[in-house]
Amino acid sequence: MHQKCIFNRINNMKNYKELFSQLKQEQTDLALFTTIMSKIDKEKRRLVIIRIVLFSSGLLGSIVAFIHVFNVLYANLAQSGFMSFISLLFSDSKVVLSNFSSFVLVLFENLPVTWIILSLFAIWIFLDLLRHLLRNIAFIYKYNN
Amino acid sequence: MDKILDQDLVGEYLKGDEESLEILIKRYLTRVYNFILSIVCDKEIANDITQDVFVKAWKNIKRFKKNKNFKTWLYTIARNTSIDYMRKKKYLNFSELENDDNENILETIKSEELLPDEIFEIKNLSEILQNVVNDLPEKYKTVLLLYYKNDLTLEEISKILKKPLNTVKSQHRRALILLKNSLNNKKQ
Repeated sequence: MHQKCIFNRINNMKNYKELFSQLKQEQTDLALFTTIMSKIDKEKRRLVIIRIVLFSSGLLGSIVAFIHVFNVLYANLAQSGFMSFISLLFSDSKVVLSNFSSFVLVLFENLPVTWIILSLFAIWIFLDLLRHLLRNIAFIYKYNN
Repeated sequence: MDKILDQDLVGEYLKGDEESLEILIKRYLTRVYNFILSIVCDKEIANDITQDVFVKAWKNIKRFKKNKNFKTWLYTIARNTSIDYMRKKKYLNFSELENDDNENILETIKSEELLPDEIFEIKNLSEILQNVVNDLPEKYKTVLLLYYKNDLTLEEISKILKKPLNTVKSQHRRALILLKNSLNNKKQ
């Protein structure tokens, strides 16, 4: 009788929903859900491993870059006379203190600003990559346990 | 659990709540599976495609915009994945996917024809309906199933199918005509 009722109103638009509710709905089992979740987990791990490799390479690169930039910075500091002016602070502090503003100005004039900025940038990249690397390692560690 | 909006669940997942993803998957698993099954007509294949769909959805979840409809977004992935699979396996008649109104065939259909009472006596209604729906051209079947079985609006369907709303409306109307016609033929 129920089916009859549905078909009796088949030409009425609003009853198509009722008609389609007669279509057999296949039920999914827990296995499908579990498979999907495990596939997602597997994919997560794969992506994390790729990130670890990339961040490790980046970290090594940033260390090499930092060493290079630091060497150049040190050479520039020595060449510009900055180190000599600093040593004056310890050897002849009375003269330095009496002309302190001029001393500070000279120090700033002799700073290799570009290389200092590059060094700070290299440090920032290093720390940022390290943060990401540690986060991904922690993720893998959590998953393994 | 059902009261939480899909968009909010996506937001929660992106903030680190893993359980939100599980709720979302459980919410749509059966519906998406059945939708895919209606396209591929094979349980094993539907199983595989459903897995791919949810993995794809997870991979792209960061790109999902909160102001969009999650259901529409997910069904779009499901449809595209199913069609890609069918294309690869060459199961699908490509002309069915084209934006073709197929006027000549439809002109022959008597849209005003009413279904006679005799058809109501058919006991295996579900089975017959399933066969009739499966025999419909892909584009019509998809519109009908999305609209009547998956509770999507015609506007949402137009987004999923990437077709203008008027085309979807016309396809919906023609799909109903074809359905009535097929049911009439079954009776005869």
